[in-house]
Amino acid sequence: MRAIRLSEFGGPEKLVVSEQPEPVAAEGEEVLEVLAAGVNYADTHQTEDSYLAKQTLPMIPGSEVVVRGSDGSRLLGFVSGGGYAERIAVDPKRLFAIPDGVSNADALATLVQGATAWHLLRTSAHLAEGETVVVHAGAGGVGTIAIQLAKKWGAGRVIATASTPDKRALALELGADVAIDSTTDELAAAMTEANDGRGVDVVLEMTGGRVFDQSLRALAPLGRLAVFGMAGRVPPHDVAPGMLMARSTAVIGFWLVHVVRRPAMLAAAVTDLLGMLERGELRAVIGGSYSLEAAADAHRALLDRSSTGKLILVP
Amino acid sequence: MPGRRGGSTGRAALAAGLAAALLLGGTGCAGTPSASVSPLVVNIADIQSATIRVRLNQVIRIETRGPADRYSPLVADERIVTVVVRRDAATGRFEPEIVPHRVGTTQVALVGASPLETTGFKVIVSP
Repeated sequence: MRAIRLSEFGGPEKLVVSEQPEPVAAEGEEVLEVLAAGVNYADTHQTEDSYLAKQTLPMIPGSEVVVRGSDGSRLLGFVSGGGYAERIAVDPKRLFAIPDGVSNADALATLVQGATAWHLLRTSAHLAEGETVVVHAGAGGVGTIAIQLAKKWGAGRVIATASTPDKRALALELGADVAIDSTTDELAAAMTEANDGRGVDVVLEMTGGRVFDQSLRALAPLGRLAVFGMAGRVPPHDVAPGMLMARSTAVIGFWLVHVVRRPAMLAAAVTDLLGMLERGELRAVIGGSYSLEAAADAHRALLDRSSTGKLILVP
Repeated sequence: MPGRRGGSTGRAALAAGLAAALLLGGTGCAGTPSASVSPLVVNIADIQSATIRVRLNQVIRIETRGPADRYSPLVADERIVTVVVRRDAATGRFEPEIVPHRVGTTQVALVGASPLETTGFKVIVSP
């Protein structure tokens, strides 16, 4: 079969298609056809071994797939690598059934991005009705879903940040009340100004560096800063617990791995999101569909921040 | 056995329950709702990540042993099944019924007080 198999870590240039042996099914698994695979920011970290979890070689990247089940149904789920390939060995019991009215690409948006947005708002930030939510990278995979969920779940105001006018226009189209330029030097001031001069209640942050630092400053008392990435590869300043106490604020880390390890938590989010997509209550923004041969382009689009929404590979 | 409790929470009980589901699925009249087909009764403790097979003319009744306000049902494709919120008259407990509408497969989740308390499973509806 055709697959992308890395024998050394590195950037997008390492994503080269080659002929590989067929996967071998372990007990409970079946070898199934990969209809589509999600491309995630985490993949770019894994291929260069800068991810939260240590990676090993050789590696076929790709942790989320849509496969054709043995009964012809389309199934969606997380895998422990191997998604950038024509076929994969997977346990079908761990996968979710995709409604007929939901495309493969849209379904993939419910996993890394959708489940992250869902649990950031519900489980980590405990969004309450009427609260103000800041969604950084509002045109990204998580951001585009988080904006819609925050509005649907009663946020009083959703403030999106994005780096270009096109991305800000997309965030507004998805329901953000305000979209601000993420490249501004005075991001904290821009966030509070967008909230009529008040601090904000919830911030979803995945950039790191100054965006984290300024988001913390922009929080209202009892505000929560939920951190789920460091796309800029620049760490923020250390957080002083005394400062959190003095302002009654919280910083909450989120790594989707801990949700995936609890199948019930993942099922809640994915079932809800698939239902919203099927009923037309949620729009998945698909930023691009790439062939296996063009996987490097997909990674470059994530790394240079030119992409919007969800990127997929179609082997 | 139709209408029987799901029993313990072990894997054996789950296997037995699902085997019963398959067996019960064969007893209905294809495509025609009938009051004579007993509900398939399963316990919420036995169906985490399970696949439940049911016929079009049969409902799945889920014993939750919890108060009605504790669970929110979610269905990925409500054209295939819907969840009817049903309260047991005697105990006041929430015992939802999953009602099939058409042939197909869909995800169902019952979300408890927090997402940590979710039970998620697949339902396959056959003719």
